[in-house]
Amino acid sequence: MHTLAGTSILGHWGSQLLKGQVARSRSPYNPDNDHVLVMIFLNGGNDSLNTVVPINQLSILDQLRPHVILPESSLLHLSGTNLGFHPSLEGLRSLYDEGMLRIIRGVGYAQQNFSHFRSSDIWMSGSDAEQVLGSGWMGRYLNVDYPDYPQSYPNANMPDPLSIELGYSNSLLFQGPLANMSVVINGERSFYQLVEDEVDAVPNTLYGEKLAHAKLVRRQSQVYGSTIRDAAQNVNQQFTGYPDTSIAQQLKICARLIAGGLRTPVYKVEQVGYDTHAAQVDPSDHRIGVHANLLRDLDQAISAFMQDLSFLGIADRVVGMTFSEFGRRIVSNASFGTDHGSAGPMFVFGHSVDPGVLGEDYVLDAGMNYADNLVHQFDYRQVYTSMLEQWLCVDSGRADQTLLGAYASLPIISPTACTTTPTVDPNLVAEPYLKAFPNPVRDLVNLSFVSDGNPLSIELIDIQGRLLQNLVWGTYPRGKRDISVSLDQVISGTYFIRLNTRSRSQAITIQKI
Amino acid sequence: MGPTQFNGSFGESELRHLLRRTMYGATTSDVQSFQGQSMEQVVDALLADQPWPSPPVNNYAIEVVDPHVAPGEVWVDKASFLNENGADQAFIDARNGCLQGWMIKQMIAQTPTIRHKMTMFWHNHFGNSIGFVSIIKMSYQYFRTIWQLALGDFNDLIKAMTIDPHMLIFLNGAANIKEAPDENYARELQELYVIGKGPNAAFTEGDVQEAARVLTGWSVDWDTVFVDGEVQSRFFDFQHETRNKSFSSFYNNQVIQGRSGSAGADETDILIRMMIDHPECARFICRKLYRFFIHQELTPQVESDFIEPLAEVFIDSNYDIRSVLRSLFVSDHFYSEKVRGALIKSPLDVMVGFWRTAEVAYPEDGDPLAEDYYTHLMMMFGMADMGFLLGEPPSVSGWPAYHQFPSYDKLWLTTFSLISRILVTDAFVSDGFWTPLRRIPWDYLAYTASLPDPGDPGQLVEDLVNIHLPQGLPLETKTDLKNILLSGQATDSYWTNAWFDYVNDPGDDMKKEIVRSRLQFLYLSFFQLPEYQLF
Repeated sequence: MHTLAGTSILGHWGSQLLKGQVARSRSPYNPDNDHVLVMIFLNGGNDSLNTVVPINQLSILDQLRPHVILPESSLLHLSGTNLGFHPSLEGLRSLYDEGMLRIIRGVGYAQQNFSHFRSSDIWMSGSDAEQVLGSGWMGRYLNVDYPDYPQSYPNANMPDPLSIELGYSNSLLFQGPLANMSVVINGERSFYQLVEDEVDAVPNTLYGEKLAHAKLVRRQSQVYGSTIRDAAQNVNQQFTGYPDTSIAQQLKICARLIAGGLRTPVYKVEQVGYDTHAAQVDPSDHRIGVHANLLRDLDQAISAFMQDLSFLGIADRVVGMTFSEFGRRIVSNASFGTDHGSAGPMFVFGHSVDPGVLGEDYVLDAGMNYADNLVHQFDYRQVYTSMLEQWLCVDSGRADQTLLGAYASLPIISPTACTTTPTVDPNLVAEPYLKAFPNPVRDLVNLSFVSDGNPLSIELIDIQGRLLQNLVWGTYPRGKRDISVSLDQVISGTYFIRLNTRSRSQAITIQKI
Repeated sequence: MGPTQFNGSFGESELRHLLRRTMYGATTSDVQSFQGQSMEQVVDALLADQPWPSPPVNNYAIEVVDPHVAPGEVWVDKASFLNENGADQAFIDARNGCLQGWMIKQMIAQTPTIRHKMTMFWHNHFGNSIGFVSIIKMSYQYFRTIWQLALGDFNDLIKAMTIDPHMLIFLNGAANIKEAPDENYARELQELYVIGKGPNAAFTEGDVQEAARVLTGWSVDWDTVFVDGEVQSRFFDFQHETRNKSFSSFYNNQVIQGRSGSAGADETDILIRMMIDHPECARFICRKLYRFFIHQELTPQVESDFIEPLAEVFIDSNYDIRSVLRSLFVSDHFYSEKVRGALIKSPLDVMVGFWRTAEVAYPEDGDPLAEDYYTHLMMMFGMADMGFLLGEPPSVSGWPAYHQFPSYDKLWLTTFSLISRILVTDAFVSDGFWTPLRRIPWDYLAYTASLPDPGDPGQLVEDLVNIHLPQGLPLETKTDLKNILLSGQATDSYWTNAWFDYVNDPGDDMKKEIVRSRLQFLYLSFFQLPEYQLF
């Protein structure tokens, strides 16, 4: 993965930092509330039936997908099941054996969309197939704790990035109602440049000299640049067995930052290349090929990451989760590949998981044709809800609010993980400048807000992020103000109410009934 | 003769370079209007005369009641009042904001012309503060005078500024009387406006004192301030020092004959002529233009190959500013690869430049006056965060980026100002530029559709780079940007299909959202590039 020239770290510029001179003294950890979720996006659509293979259905699969079928002898049997892993997944099988892996089979959603773009937007936003959402599920989750991000961040209560993603830009996953809530690290090179305080080379010209200056100031102005560098420098040694692959190196950075003391609760990394229409397997040996290499890289990366977490003493704090925008077609194609399909498995790994396999065998028969797809057994938002409730330790009301609906949770994390954890650390809740009550609201909503004496507006925004109307605007004397507004004409649903001034914004969620 | 002329091919890249340096952003139609024209044709068009636009009106009624001017009416010719009480100060402030915003509005509306940039060049040169003077109709006249003479006879410009009512108040000329000469303007006239502070600028303290005496008697005609109509300056002969004024060897020991009565005012013309005719004047002005339009670094070679011949053009044309600019913009040096992209954008280049180059549109609904007021006021505030408040240069020398050795334009970029710049483009790309009345969105779907080949992800990035960046981008950065459109997939057609799905069915929310969200992340990253800060 490359870096945008010199922009080691993009990310939203929550960066009035220099106005406020961020207090660098961080409050001590709440040891009960330091869980971290690392999401691994398998970009391109991972072939589920060649990842977790139903051994008892191999004879049918042999007829349906002869071009890619794996030989039974190569499969890594999961004890106590009829399942076998792809031969590349030795490390994951060890995690399974050690009780550190939860496999959830057949995760997807109704009315599968087969576009990469659309389906990854669905998985990242948390929408129905037909619903368009302008925010991501993680963005909405983080917005509850940090409703006025980015303007007054970082601050003493939250000195660290709200979320970190390794990749080429912010993703929809972390898009909140106001702003994107992730800080992007553009790959390993820019990370180590940051840690070592180096910049990209520039041409030795007048232009290059000015460009170097722009890059330098940009580096210095990166709100979270020094935070990330400090955290990285707290870690002198890591597990040395990470392979030199992009996904492994991304996870290595995550481990370093977590161990280095960042409070950041969510990370996202990405492995590209799962779009295996052709040459998914080597025609002469299905055990090798593009897909085998991808899964091997993933497997080795996760194994190294798990060893590193133990080495760094943070294994109890971290849980990982894979997801992909869809599985692939049941019936293989003549290019020794598979086309876009539907449901697939998700892996949840870590010391704190509730281990084992969830999900039944798929319904398969030898008469299936090219158009047929696996039927999903679990809605992907059931896994998200479970992660929110069982690992990020929020109550079911907040999980429902985040996912814009109620989804039955699944046992994926050890039941003791959240028992001693307060739902929300009150220290993390930003100073409220805007409140709306009652919530849910039937007609009149009371808006209570703090004016700084400058022009302001309060907007009603729908969940696609569209401005519906300005509820309040103008210049109000400094201090706390209360105004009632009728939402009588607004149809029921979830909305954001957003307070803006030139220097501050804050959004809260409201339910209209 | 002038500096060596550019004789290379004047292609799109040269045209864009010329427009970036002479305008605050160029729209697609600006660029298209010049396609196929020669360098000389384009330069002449940019240097052509421009009428002063119709004056600002009371658009600030939404904030404050102006007891003397109704909403929608012109206020610049109305009586002005000193701030005797708080209520009056409020509408004076509103008129101030109205004028500053109106200047920005004219820049957004600019047709292809150098006039706005030259007006800002001279505003920086004659760095007056509106707030210090606080008689806003005077500030309006100050800007109008600069605008009208910006490309004209330098002698006329210096004369007009010397007796400009705003300047007379700002640098105490109005208080410069024979009994108690005030040297403030006489010093800056030489040090900042005509001769400069170069190594050969050897005018003396005596020259400052004698110049101040020449200028005694000029003041504001206060009667014209408190009534409707233009503010006038006036020569009060009874306050003029009538004795002879003797200058140092720097001015060849010239003696300006003392004059009494209204003829005393003629001394001012002789003084200005004397200063401008000093060879240091032409060099000083040419160096300043060079630093503003080309690059700050004045090597001995630039001095001999460029500044000297350009100064000759200035002198030979009898100090015609337009002639100097024409020579500069057809010069080989201006188009050399060495200097392209080697300036850091001013806040105006960022704010107005983004608006125009990205083709942001004003909202069409709402109360036009209130929208007009708040939109431009918020742009002004946004630029203030970047270190530029129009009408309020930080010192009498103007903005440090134009004169402070050795950093010059690097001073525009601080950790705070860079973030302020990025927050503006972020806002346009995210959910619109905020005003108290609305958000002004940038319709980047429409903008993308207007590009030559938006269905080809590589070409789309290539076109953005050519339009918005002066020196291109490294290949790996372009690949990263393309990756955003492809969501990391390796197949270009995924974007192509998504784009045409949208284009063929633009009313479909889902098809729109697929391309919209990817374009949003693309543009966020693009306008955050450090390369975007250069021009």
